[in-house]
Amino acid sequence: MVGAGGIGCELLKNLVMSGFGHIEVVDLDTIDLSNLNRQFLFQSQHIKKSKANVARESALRFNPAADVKSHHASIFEDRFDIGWFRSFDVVLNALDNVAARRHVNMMCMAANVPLIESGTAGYHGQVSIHKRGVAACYDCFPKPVERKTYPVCTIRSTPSEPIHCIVWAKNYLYSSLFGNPEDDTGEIDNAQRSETEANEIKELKVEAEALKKLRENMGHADYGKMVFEKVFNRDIQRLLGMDDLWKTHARPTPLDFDAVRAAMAGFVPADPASLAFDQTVWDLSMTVHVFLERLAAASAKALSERLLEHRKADAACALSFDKDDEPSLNFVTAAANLRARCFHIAARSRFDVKQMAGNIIPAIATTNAIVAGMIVMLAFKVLAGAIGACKNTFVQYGGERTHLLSSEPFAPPSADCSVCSVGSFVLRINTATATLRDVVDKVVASGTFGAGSGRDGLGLCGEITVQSNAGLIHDVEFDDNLGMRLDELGIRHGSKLSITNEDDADASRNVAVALFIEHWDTAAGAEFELVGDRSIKPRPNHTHAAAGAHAAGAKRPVVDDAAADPKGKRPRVDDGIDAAIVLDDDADDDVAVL
Amino acid sequence: MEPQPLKYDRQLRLWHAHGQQRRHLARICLVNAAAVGAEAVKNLASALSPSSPPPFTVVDDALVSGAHAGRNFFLDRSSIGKPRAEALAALLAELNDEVSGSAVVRSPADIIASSPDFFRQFSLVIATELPENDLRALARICWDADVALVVARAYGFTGYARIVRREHTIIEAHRGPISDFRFDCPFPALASHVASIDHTALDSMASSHLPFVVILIKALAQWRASHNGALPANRNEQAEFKQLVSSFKHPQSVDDENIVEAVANAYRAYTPTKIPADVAAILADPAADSLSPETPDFWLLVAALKRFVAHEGNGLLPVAGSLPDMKSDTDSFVKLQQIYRAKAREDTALVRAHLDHILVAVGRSTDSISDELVDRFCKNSSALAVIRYRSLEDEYTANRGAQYAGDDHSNFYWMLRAADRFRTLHGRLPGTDAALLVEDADKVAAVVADLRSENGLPSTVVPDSHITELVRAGGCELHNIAAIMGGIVSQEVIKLLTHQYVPANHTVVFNGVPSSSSVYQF
Repeated sequence: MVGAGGIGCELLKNLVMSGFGHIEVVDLDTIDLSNLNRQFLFQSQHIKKSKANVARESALRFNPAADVKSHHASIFEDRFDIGWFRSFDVVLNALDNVAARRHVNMMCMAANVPLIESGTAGYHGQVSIHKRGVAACYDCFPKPVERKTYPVCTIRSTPSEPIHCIVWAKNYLYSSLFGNPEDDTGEIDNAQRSETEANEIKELKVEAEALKKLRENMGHADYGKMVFEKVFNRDIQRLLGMDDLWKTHARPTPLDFDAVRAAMAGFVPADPASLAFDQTVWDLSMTVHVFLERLAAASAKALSERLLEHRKADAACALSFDKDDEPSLNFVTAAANLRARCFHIAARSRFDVKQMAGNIIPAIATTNAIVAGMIVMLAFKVLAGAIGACKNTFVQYGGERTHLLSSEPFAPPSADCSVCSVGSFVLRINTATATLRDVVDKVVASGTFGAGSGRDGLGLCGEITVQSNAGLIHDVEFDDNLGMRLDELGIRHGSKLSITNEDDADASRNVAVALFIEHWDTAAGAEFELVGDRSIKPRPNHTHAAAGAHAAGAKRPVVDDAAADPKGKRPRVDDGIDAAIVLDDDADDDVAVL
Repeated sequence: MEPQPLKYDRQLRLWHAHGQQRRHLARICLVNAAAVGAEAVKNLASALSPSSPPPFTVVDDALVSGAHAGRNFFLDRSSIGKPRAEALAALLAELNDEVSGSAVVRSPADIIASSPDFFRQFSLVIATELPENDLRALARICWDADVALVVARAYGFTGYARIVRREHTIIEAHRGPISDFRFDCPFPALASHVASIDHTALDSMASSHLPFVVILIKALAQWRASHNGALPANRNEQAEFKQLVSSFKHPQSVDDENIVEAVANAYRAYTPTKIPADVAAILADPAADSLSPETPDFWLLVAALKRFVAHEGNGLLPVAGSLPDMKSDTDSFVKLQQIYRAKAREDTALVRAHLDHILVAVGRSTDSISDELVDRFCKNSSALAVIRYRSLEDEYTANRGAQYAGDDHSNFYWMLRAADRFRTLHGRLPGTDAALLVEDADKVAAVVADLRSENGLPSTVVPDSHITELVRAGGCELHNIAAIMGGIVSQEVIKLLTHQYVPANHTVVFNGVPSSSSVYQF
């Protein structure tokens, strides 16, 4: 079981109650207040504890005889290698993010273990079966783009929608003031651009530098005023000077700090614990109040104070935006709405801002319960050896739909899938003694194609390309690395090498192969063992596109709106509430990509 | 006390605050703490906030057995021998420290027979494991008291849920985005705004930012001027109209996203604006005519809406006032948005005025219905829904199952009905005596045939394999099926309590083997 969240809690309960003998649960997360309403294995005394460990303890209370092992760890860790995946009859995903889903899918396909995948969004949910050579894998068919990007100039100079202001507040202002200063330099480089854009970007860099300098005043009594006047007045004044920008956009209006403060005389802030604070749009006084409070010196609510406090321990410390952290969310809401005011854009409630900034998919206990039950129904079939009888099942919103639950046969694997159509092998090798040349010459090139076992090579003798997790490390025109040891190239236990072979003489040998490295400490020199099915199917379109390579030819520089997450998870699918509960038939696709 | 926004954040996103508040008013009674009921209540308890008296009451006089503990997650070994109601109520309270469940250790059959008023205190009753006679009696009590009833059942690999409520009204059906543009009948402010834009005088940049709404209103006006006021009626005319829309592209413009949007939305322009048929039926419903102080708010609102439609609305609903994102410069979009919003506010105010008259006439104060509710009602007026469920009594006396003849899934309904009758006839469920499995199967087959013929259905359709499976199950609840049915039941209960989304009408049959369900109106 990967994931012990909303679906995971239900799933573990069902497994334990249905007599599943041996269960291992992996989850990286700790328990958060907002989990309690639907993750019923957790209670308030468990906040901040490991989800995996607490889920295990709670489940065992009800069936002490169950054999449940928990791992408070990231599924990306080396210890969860192909051998570990192979030790299971079936893997059940109860995850909330695409990156982990793709990773588990890749490992299951390589280990040839059946995977049951699941996801929910509001009243929608789905469960699907994936098995190498039998049922399409999670990556067989392209998914809609996972993250949205916005042109830099839209975010920094000419916003026209609330989301533009929110991205500005979260990705630019928050990270400039509290984040790691080195983080945000890359976003606007490396792209072709027009001269006007280039000039504007130059200006924006100056602007960003000035803001970073301003940050040195953190802790100063007037820090809030300094930041306010810079970003909502001087920067806006500068933009106003660029007449070209305002031919098609309404001119922004700078905010006057003293005037705004004067208007706040007698202002009484709303109770931050109230529903109104969360759900209604703050007026200007409330917005300014919150903004200044987060920047104030010597205030418990201030992010500045928190950062300064952290820095006493670690000078390089930085904050990163977390939608579930109230002070951070409040700051971003206030900043976004002040910017929106400058640009005559409608302000949003904190509730809405959280949705947009965090890409939250609404989750409810009821759908999770249904989906978890459906996972177990499929698991029964898989364990009974009846994968062919498995169907992908869907939970729908109901209403006019006559079926709340429906099912359809799984699709066969895609012949050119970069994950499950490639040959997968575990390569046991001593990464501290073997070189890349050993891998290319002995493991890949020697031997007979389609035959042999164990110590024999793959017999691929066309043009070989090798990619590691870090990128391209070898091809016909790039052989600099051949003499290096694997560990010198960053290849260690748990690494994956993607090999493609182009053989003009024999198209049946145009294959892609994934080698999952298992460090073999006692092996001498280039000694190796190769475990996997030698009958590798040729790829219909022999391209160099090794697994996971995405070439994004963005014409304009873009700001990446990945929901920054301190745990380093990738963002969830960018579904607004409405997208997740749109009732057209097409809406199922939204769920399919969760 | 206000709900805690953070803890309930995720479902607030689905239901919004007013939906959550409605759930606070709910008082739920679970009759018999079978696993399916426990699972349903668990899902609901995880999401409910404090209210007094306790939101959950469990009525059950059974004592926890080893078998109960084996399939009900909320009953562990330490609770064996204790009253099932008390064990469940205690564990539910443990789940969510703000929720308290109370237990009534008394036979449900006894309460149904001797103190029917007991059930009047609840807004919703979930019933499990009741023999047919008791169930029918409970259904009559709930029907008369206007308490919603949900019957839940997990039986072997099958499941069943039945919703019974006299009337269920829905303002927010969430059927999808509401689009209300009035292309064919622009209101004066919209018409004059569009007329004030001379698209032929725009440069290529401004032209490519002209919102598609403006393009379509202009194009349609042009079309009607040359077609005696008629809309594009047939395929050819519609294609011609799209050509006309495309001709709005500026010759020097390289960016024609707005034209693409206009062509994609052209069908909306030549579809006449009118009141959807099911909303027209609600407006024509007698419930909106005979008004009294007891008339529910929904019907008072419908009455006000009806007056608006007959007078200021000229036969149309209030303007919804929302616009989707579209290719446009900010200025044009904001202007357009303001025009639609202003009209929506104007229409809503007129509905409000009608409502105030009605409220005064029935002797209620005008502030007893909030502006916010009127606003929400008007915005969603094109998607209102009313469900009048069939009573269980009607279903059992005049079954409409004939319409599903040949539907294999519907057979499971007949088999569960047969299991109940078997229980009435033989004092036990089929398959509970290992020595009598074959005999039981024959008897069940005979009962199914009887039941079906009583209801005018061919008697031979149910496959033997289904009957064998039913007998094999021996009335047993499987935990996983109970969990799925508990999920389905709680999902529908939430729809009933929040009056948002459209609940199933009226019977859900689940078959675990293919993991699929069907909804029937028996």
